[in-house]
Amino acid sequence: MNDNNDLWNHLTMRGNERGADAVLNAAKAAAQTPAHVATIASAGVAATSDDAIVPAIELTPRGPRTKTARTRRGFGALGLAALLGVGGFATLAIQGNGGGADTPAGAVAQLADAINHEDLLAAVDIMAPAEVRTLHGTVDAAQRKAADEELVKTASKPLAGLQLDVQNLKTAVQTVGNGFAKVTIAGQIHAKTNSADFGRMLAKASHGHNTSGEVDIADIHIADVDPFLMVVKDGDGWYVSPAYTGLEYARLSQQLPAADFGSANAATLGADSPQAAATELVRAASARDWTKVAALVEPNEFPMYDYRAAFTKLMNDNVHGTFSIADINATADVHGTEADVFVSGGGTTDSGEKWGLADNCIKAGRSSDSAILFGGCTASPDEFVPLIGIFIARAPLGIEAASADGIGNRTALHATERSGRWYLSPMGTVLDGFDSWIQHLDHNAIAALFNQPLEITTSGAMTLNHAVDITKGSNTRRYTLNVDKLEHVVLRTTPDYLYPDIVGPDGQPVSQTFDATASEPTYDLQPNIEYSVVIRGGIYASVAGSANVANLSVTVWRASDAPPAPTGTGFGTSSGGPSPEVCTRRGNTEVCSSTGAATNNGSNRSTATSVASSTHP
Amino acid sequence: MREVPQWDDELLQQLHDLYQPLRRFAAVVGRRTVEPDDLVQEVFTRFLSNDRREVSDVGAYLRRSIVNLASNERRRSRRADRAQHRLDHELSATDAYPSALADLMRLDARDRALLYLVDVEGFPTADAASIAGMAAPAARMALSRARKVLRSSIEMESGR
Repeated sequence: MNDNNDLWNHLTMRGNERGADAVLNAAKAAAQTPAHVATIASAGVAATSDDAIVPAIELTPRGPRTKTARTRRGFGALGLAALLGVGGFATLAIQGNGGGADTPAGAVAQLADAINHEDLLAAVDIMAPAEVRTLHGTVDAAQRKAADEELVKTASKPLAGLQLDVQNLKTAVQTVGNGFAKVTIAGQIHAKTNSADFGRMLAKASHGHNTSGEVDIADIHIADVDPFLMVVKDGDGWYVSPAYTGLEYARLSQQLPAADFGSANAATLGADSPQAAATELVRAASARDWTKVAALVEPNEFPMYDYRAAFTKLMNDNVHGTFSIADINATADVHGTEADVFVSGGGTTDSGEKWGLADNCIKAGRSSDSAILFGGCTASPDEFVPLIGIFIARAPLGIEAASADGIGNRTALHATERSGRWYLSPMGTVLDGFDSWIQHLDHNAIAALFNQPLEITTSGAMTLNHAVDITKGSNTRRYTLNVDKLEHVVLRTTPDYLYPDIVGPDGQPVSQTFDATASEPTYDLQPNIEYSVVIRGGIYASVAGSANVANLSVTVWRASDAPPAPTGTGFGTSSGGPSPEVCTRRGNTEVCSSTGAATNNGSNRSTATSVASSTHP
Repeated sequence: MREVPQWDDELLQQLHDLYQPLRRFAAVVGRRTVEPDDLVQEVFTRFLSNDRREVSDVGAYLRRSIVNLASNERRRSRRADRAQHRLDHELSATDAYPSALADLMRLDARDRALLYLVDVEGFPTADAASIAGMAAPAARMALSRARKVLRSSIEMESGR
């Protein structure tokens, strides 16, 4: 028995086993108690207020086990369709804001009414105007893409097929500042889908199933507090504020100091120019002056300054490193009150490592798993990762743009002028990148997102024991694979974390066999069946880029012909190529090891295994 | 008058048959301070109390419920987390692979569930992701991270 099995056996056999009869009888007795029955009856599908273990959206009837995933995908798909289809509505809403509600509770009631009518126009209309202003360009692109990719039948009805009902809405208003209120909410939300009204791609992803469910708002416990929405006054009207709501939840979840509502004066904060806003941000971060950092963020769009005490505590508690600046400069393309800013510079960290910033991408000391979260700039030959915020724009859903050429180039920080002062615009920055992502999002990427592998355009045919080079481009692709007789195969990639799938003619993944004594799963392929090997691009390719792997490849090996799997990789699909550095810390000693290519550019690769250790205080 | 729930024999037999795999799953996913049988009993109770008509894959549903229950339990109390951390260290001193086990238990319940379902029970990643309440790409990344943690722990302790 190997080490891994020992571990799992040890864990699965823990505790005092009472036996099936005893456990089941106890459950039956408990289920018959009045208290339990009453709780369930009052809460719909959910259970008690903070013990809601049952999924909020009920699982629907299904045949094979994969239905759970399908149901989830259906809702996920619908969400994206709504996002992509929101364009025309939001544009109109932004241009013609309805003036808000008369009271804080009225704003929440209007939002609920908009949801009840699946009316995105009305929903955006009741959002704080300054916060949704930057949606303008993004939604236009989303609208076109949604129509092109048949996610929705008509762009003017992006929520067709989804019926939402908010029932028994109850609100309690707490004034938290002049023009700021916290509205605690209760009630139920019913959701029902009708896949016949979906666009073709969505309908296919939902497999024609309709889903319904109910969630009690009281059971939605984020940050262990009763559900609430923050509402702000703008002019004469009250609006729901997504930014204040999100920040308040974040503050409460981390038990951070309260906000100083309405304290940001746009005429006195910010910087003299867009370039100064960007460089001062870097200098403030270097000096760990978090209040200054917060003062450089556009306060109406994202009220970080109001939350500066919370932000300062959060950063001081969690960010301990410092860095010095040798040089820093910025250029800006100014268009009226908006600007795109590009920052470059460099210096050293407190551990003595050099850092560099070129066109908003940080040049890190070495690759690491953290790069997985970033993507984007990592497609460049060097180890660049983008500034926080941009990565969201680059790979917002973990999938890729169609062309690698569109990734890794200059990425602009967005700046905006308010009351004569310049601020960085996080939403504008993210949405600029999101625009770019949507622009490059191709049919294959969308098919992968909706788990429709057979919709992905075929890139060619694979044969057993022959590697397919997937280095160029980071986009999703599919290769066909046929075998002449029953074949027992393994799937290897370089590097080992590209995670391709082998799917059958029904589009479903071929079952893996995992022998606990082996280091990788195997597949049994039947003759006269066309299989597909699907490689999803985007974030995984970006990871490969960050690890400086010059050659990406996928090989389906006949198991008997496969070279020995190298050690030092994970338990799953293993690689015939280099593996990333793995660091483990024990006490005050960190041990790092890696196996694979010794050079960065792949032109002179040699295989090496290295182990290095260092001691930390 | 309150209506007393009724269950047919087929359903009860199905739960009976699921007890062992669910118990193993609960042992992996739940805190070490929580008895696996207690987790299984709780999800059985809620399942029997609930409207089950739309649940056709009972095993997946109950596993998902165990994950949610374990995650909710973890979220509820930061103090309990700290106690758990101390307990992990104390208990792990007597285990065959103390650091590996401690590292495994420090993983998020959903990550642990993923690792167990895919690597031990042989679930397809997509199905395991669904049970853990994660998107498939996120699940793959979580699996990769969890495997690395576990692998390096075992190798350290095996002296390799």
